[in-house]
Amino acid sequence: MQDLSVRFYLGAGVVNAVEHLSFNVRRGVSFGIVGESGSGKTVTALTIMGLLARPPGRVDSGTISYDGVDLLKLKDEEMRRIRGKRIAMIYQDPMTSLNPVLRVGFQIAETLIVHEKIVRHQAEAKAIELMESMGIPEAEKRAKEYPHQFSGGMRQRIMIAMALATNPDILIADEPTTALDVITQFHILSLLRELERKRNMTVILITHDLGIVAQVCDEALVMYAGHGMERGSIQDIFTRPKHPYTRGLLESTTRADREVKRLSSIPGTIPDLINPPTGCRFQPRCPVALDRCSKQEPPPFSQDSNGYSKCWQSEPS
Amino acid sequence: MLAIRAQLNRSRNPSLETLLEVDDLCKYFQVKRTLGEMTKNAPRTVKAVDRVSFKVSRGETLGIVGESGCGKTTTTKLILGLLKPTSGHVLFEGQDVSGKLTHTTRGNLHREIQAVFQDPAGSLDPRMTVGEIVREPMDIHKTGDLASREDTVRKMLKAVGLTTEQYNRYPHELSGGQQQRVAIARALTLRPKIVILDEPVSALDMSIRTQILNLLKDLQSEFDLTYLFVAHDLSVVRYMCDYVAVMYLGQIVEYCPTSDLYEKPIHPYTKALLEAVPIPDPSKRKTSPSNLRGSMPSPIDIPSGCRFHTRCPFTVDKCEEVEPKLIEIAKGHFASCHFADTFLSGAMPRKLGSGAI
Repeated sequence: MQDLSVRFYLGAGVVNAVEHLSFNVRRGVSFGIVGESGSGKTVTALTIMGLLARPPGRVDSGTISYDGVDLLKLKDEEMRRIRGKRIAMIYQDPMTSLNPVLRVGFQIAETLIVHEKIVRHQAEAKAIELMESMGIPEAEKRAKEYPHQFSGGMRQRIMIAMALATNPDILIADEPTTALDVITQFHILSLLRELERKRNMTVILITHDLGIVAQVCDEALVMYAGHGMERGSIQDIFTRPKHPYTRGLLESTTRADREVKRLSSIPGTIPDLINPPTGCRFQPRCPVALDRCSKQEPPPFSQDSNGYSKCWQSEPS
Repeated sequence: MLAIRAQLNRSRNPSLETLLEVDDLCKYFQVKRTLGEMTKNAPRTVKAVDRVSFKVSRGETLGIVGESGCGKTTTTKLILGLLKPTSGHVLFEGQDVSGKLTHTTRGNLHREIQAVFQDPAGSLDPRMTVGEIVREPMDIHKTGDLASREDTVRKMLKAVGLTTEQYNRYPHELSGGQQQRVAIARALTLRPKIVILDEPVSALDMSIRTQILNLLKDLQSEFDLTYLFVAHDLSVVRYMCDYVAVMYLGQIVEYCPTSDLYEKPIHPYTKALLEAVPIPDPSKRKTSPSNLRGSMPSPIDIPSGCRFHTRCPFTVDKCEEVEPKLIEIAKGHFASCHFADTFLSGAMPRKLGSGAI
């Protein structure tokens, strides 16, 4: 992805949802996009999928190249052949993403009927196999049931089965476990990791939870107010964070594995994206901001082959 | 500074006075049955809270933690008097407040027990200004004259970190974190003794969460507050609470000082919960999947014996037949498990383990 900018043109003004975002994801890695609400992480995912609501949304610049093709230049029908087949996505709430009046087995099979052009009974047999590989017990019986008969964790497994039916290269998971309990979350995350390893699939995991990123991902991008603030390997982000925002987040995170008397917190609030702060987007809340930060937006200073930090402090001297 | 001083005072005073006590509290809900279920004589009660007892001492924070459907929110509603218990008692300063109360007693009680809920936008009236919202409890309880109420509102807004300029704003003009500050200010205007915090930060963004948690800690020492902190996030509970009660299917399965719970958990359910919490440290990656089976059973159809036996990796016949009691295993450390002593000594019940999976 190069220099992606997405803006929403609303009555109240122009929302700069994503600005000059660049990053690359290699095959077979688990890539985390972490950020708070309004950081642009979901808009980025929807843009990759070609599902951005246009209008009011508009891609103002940038390219998203996948396998040598710019996804943003594809015609709708060309994109339709890629979406769901080679790039699949799962969402936060598995209940609203499933059709309540169709049996789950058929919903999984439908993907195969559309993309693989196979007949219904073959597709349904494959759907049962997929449900089994997702760890759904009694798959044959349960394939004939409706979404409301499943628990939240099981519904998310069905969503994953549906997404993986066509063996996609990339699976985008947008907050896949936010609606789930902690033990179910653990099972779903383990499943995603296992699938990534077994199928050599790329998983792009979007989350607000630093714990999940640390547990699941190989590399990560930290987003704030529509900007990619820091990108790097998981080790670098968690043990040698470069950007003050990443450091602030890590220092303010509550942890179940240690006792802390007092955590430091990041002051201030998340900026308004219609009138974003000048210069660096994080500068009004940054503990180490300089004069320059409010005047000039820092470029992403690269750290190594894949990492960068969008902060003047990271400028090589 | 204040927080440190309060903590010192607390450690000097080991015998703390009990402020709130919940004794053998039960809440059963009746559910409608379909015709088919009626002929099969299927169960029709949801035991949302089933024989729950705990005490909260003055100045302390008790955390109630558990997965969705474990009965933690129902417990808070029973304490607040928003639901009537099926049986059992809620004692506030030694007085039973769970039965029918006179209008005056109920009113007085509301001054002492206040609450802050999860969704700040949903708990603030969109047509009232911030100032009116924070003043409303005083208007209802007719405390002081208008001038003194206005004065308290300004003091409270300052205490929770809002500016007087935000006094005339409406809730929708504020961010989530600011809305939660307003809800906290409103809960404190009547100077309650205990505040029930039901998931107060789960709807907030990460960078805002710690601000609010720190604010709650500061206000606790400033206003000498006792908290009942309900949450599903074990990392937040560790940061905030002195004592923790872990609930599963309407019952407390483990209850002890916070450090004991995280360092020496006894109950297999607590262990599974702790194992599942994602730690923001890639070197502490958990590779072995949790050995917990299945998902939480329906609270309509509660398993026999130990309610956790259907998912527990150490289940033996006894667990299916006999219900374990919540008993004190070590000093101040309660757990309801037949093999609590074995787990406490750190030994894995080998005999049990082999038969389990």
